[in-house]
Amino acid sequence: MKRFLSIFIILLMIQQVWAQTDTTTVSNEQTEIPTFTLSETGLNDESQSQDVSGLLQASRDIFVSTAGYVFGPARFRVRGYDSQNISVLMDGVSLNDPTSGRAYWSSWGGLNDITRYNVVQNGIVSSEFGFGGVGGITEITARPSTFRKQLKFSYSLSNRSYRNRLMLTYSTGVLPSGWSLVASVSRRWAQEGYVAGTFYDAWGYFLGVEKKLSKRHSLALTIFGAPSTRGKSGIAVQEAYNLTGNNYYNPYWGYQNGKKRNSRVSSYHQPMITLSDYWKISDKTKAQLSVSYWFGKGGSTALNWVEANDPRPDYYRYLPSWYNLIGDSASAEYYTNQWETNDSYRQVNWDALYFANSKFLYTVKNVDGIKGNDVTGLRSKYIIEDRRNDKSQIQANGDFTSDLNDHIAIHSGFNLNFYKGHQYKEINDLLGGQYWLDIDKYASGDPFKIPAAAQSDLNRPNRLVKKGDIFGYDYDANINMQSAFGEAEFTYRKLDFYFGATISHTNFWRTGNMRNGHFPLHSYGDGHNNSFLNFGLKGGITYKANGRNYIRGNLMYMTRAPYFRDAYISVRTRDFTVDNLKSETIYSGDLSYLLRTPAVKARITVYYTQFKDKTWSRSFYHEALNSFVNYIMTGVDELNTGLELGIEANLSPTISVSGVFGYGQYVYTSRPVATITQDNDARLLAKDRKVYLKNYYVGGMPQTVASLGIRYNAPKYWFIGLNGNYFGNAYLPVNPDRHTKEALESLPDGDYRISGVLAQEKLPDGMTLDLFGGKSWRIEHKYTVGFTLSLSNLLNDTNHITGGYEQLRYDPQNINKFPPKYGYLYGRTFFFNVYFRM
Amino acid sequence: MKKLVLFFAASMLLFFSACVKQDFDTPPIKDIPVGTIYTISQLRQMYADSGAYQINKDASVYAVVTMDESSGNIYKSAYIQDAGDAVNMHLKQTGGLRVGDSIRVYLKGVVLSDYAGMFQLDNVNNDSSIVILATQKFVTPKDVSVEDLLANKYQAQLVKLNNVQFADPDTGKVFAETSTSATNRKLEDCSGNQVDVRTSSYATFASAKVPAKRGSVVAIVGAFNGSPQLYLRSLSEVVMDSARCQSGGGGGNPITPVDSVNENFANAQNYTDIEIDGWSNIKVAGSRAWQGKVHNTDTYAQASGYNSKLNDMETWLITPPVINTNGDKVLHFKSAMAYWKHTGNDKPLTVLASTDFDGTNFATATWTELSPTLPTAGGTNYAWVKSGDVSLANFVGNVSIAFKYKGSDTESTSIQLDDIVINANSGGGGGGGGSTVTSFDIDFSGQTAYKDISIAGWLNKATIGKRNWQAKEYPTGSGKLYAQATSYKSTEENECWLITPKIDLDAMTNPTISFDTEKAYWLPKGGASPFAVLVSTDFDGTNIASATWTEIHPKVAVESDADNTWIPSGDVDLSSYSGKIYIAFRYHGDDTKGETTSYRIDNIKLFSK
Repeated sequence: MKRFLSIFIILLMIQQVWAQTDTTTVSNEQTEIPTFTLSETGLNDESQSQDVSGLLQASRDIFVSTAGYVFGPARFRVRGYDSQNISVLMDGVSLNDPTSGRAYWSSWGGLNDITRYNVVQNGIVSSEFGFGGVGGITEITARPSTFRKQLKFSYSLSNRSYRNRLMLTYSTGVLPSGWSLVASVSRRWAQEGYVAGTFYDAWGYFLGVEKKLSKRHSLALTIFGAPSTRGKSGIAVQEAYNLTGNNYYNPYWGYQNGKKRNSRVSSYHQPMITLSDYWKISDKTKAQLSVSYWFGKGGSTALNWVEANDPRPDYYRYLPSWYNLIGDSASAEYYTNQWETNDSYRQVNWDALYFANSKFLYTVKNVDGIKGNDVTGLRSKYIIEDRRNDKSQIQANGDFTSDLNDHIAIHSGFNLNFYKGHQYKEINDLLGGQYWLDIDKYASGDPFKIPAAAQSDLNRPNRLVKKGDIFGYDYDANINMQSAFGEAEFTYRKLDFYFGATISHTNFWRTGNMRNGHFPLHSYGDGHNNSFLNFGLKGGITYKANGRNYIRGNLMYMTRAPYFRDAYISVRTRDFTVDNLKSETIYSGDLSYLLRTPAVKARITVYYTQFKDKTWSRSFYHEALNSFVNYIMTGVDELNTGLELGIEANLSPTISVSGVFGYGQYVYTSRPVATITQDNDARLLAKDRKVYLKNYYVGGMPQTVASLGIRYNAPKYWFIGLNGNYFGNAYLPVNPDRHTKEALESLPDGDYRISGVLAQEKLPDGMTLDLFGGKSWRIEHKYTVGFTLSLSNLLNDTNHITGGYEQLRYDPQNINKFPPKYGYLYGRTFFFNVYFRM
Repeated sequence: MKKLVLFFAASMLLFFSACVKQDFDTPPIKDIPVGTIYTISQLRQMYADSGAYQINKDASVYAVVTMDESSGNIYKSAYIQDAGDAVNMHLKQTGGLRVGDSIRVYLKGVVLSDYAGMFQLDNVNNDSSIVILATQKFVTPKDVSVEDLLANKYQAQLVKLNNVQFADPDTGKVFAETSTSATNRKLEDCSGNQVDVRTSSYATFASAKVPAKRGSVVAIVGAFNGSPQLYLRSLSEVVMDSARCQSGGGGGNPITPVDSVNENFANAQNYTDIEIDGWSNIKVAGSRAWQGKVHNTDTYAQASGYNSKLNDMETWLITPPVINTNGDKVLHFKSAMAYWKHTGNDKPLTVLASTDFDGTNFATATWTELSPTLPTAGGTNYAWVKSGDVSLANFVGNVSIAFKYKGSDTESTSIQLDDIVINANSGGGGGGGGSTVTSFDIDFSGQTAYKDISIAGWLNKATIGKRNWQAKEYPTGSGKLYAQATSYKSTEENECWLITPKIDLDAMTNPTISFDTEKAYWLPKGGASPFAVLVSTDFDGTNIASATWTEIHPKVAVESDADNTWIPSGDVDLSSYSGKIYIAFRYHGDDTKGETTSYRIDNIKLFSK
């Protein structure tokens, strides 16, 4: 014990030292071994990450687990699917967000000791927990009575997105009284993570109690949450990386009064309470019924400004390349020097924002629509706004499993899901000003009056808002889903097969809480109720040739309702859904060969999945129009095909090797139709514009991955291992508008620039080396103490681009005017974990 | 267990000691020094003395913002004005200032320069150089004239021009075309002095239409290469609600009145605005006026809203004043319509008369509507409709006749006008009375009940009193019309003549005339017949008194006939005459003497038997 404590204190001191080291070499977040992941997109600026690779690590399938902890940082996704296609469940409760279908890791961040007990089924599978998607089902079991009696404490040190982690978990196991209790609490923090300007401040808590009421019923109540506040990192254009000499340049932070302050802080706390009844209906049939309430706040801040210069340091007109473009080489040279040396210039200049806000004396007439109510004060030119998505979701779920006999099992279930997301933004910080005027800063003006069209809310025009006030937009996303599934599973000596079906009804509508000045008739109140009926069918056969060789094939056909997030052309300002809103159709098949011997486990799979009629939407700010522009494509078809190979072999009792190879091709197979709208104008900028996307890669992830690993397990409870990894065939996701007739209109036939507009950039391949190891000791036959250390990207390759995107604004005559933004893989990072268990 | 508790305690400490500090102090705000205080005119003088230079010491100027960027008409720019002068500031960033802001501009780093000859403050950094001291301190625009601006006065100041209008060719166009960054439109006073109004295509009112009326404009006086250029702040400051100044013909001097008018537009050029000496062709709304039109050999005047893109088109074609001392002048003309698009009660053509129009005072003259026969919606395209004789007896003095066209791009009916004659009689048409007839059949069906008989070629004239032969309908609504003359309730003596056109007997064989007559309320009983049929061989077509009239005696209604009973005359042989003759039907009555018989005539036929 004492020994342990002393090691502990030494580690603490080391942590202090680490915290002060130079943090200029950084990367995106990465997974760690053995049990969790953290990823942070920063790529398409999603507030939360939908990378579920952390959960995948627990899979026993070598391909899937490698995908989890090795390929995750390179943004690899199994079979190219995003998490919309994977059902993530915790004790039967669906964790996929209804507005987008994605599962956000931040909901369970830090609760690794709980989430590690999961069953990951990849691809089209048979499951007792639901129908699943083409990507499979991950079911986390957090039922208190399934935890054995244990007390676990761990402390980790790292240089990734956080630097310290403490976790404490206590579970009683099933006590003689029939009670069981699990409690886990964790804390992760960093004053600054791998990337400059990023801070991390997160907690996780889990409390579960279960009481066996009778031989048939056991009632469980679990409460968990993962509140977190983090400063985010963003990606930039290559020019910014070159000038700063830093591939992890983060444009979101700057100095305020000498301290680093990040303008993009995300904060979430969305706890979930679940009451479950585990009901043994008979010897053969059991059911799991639950009711859960998932609620809380979530949001992410950002800078907003009016009548002022763009405060973002990497705005394209602040780069030397802009001055070169306009022929001002003297300024280009000056600003090159500023970018190379001056943090006030290349990062957010908070002091300047406060200064500007101290001077904008402004009179607003008829405040709140009251004639004569004129208010004069310091109007903020710059603010920090918090874009929020608070939710309130009730689920009722039931899963039934019945073993008809030794061979046949029937699974069925239902799920009722009532979701209401309140999406709005509020003032987070006025940055020294006295108020913010709530009008559309892009609406055309007149010196003597504010046009009605500029009002965010005609019900309360000319509103002055302060910290904590809602402004700009305010609406609810209401989504109700009811679904049921059924499956029959057959197990015989030589053959296993199953077939299943699901039916679901989804309806959603928008409720506006503000009457937008541009769209007074279509923004306030309940909007149109969009309703969809969907179904799915699946089936699979496994032929067991002998105990060692298996051949498996699966087929799935399903339709899926469009997601709320993609359905509206400009959801913040009006209730208009995209034309031809319809359900997606997905059909998929896979064929595998598996080998199971004591020495070797291997699997090879080929898969084919076609998505039809997806909807794709993005928003970006268009300068010439002075407005946010929404780009929506419908009729997007994608084809994901490929091969997965995973081999694990024990060369000797101590040495094991693994090899994993994935080859995929994820392409668009249709010519979708685009609609482009302006947030603040009813005019359509374009309608029914054909996008020639056929055979372009979806991009954003490596399509070819490989990993070779060797591991030595020594008899005295220590191990060491090395992985060599390869990522290739990654393409940058395209800007669809570049692939239209309109984009090429200004270029004559055969012009050399056409290929530049149409080309899809292939990202360079990369290779990394990972080293990991650990040792554990058993003390007094009761306690286990151990440590693990993992080093990722041992060779410190800081030049590997993991992803990025083409900017949505472009100039076909000079395609390099708005170059793509790239994100780089973190350099050498470590994760050192010390644990104590009893 | 104790170890466990110790352990828990230690770990709890660790949990809470881990702090992530995220609270931020407000940074100190630096003051902007004041330095030497200048006025704008001093700065202008400094520039005039030493040319462009950058101020390198602490200095400031106090002023009020008179134009900001919120309308989009200017960009990265603002106009400021102090007690004595005004100047344009070229800003480094956009936004942050509003009209009415009372500001102090910190001048260190500011460059005094000019742009195309207009003095400006350049390199002004909004954030670091401007302090807003107060808001809503609006500067009152100064009343100036276009001539003042053309003399390069009031540069950069906020001014108001009264009694101005946009030049004809620019009315109805947009303030700023989208194809170019800015567009100039000409603003003029009533003397024709013009100044440019320049609007950026980014202005919120760029696509609004330039108004056609006259009124007042508030603007900032910019300058470009020595010429003034007005910048509008807001469309609400362009208030045009009066009729335009005199434009087209007439030019400011009263027109000499004429004795008669006889216009067939023979000199009109196709598609060219009518311009006839003494006539006025005025655009009251919109940019179109009456134009000449040539079709084969026919020339006439036309006004049309078709394809004009005008929301409102109104144009007046006004004759010179015609001397009408006795009130005996008569107007007649012909008009036609094509593609009637006017709806409801809207009329494209109205004819008016004025006795106080002198050629210069259109806006203030009194205009009274007349009721000639005009083409209607149901008529045939391009079919000429004779106006009938419109008596100008009510317009004693010098009378001008105006033909007013009102329409638009949607109410785009075309109206044609020709053969406008204002004369003491209604004889003949354009070209003088040289034409003869050899037959006619008059049943008065084209007449309007209760209106004076007006038939082309016939003369309907009162030689004593004011009454003429009138059309009457009996039964009412039956469509059956006849001509009647009566002194009943005329309070005067009446004598009126209805005279046929010149009849060419030599071109006829067995010339015969026949008609029906009818009487009613023969008074006084036993009194003489009010009616007589007379023939003249030397009538000149105009002067009844100087011609020799011989009475003939066909069968006509007499006192003993029943009232309201038509008495046919039978065929009346005219072979005892030869050459060219006129036949007159004369009525004589006197209300003052009780001679108030009503006498009627219908179905007057002339034929070769």
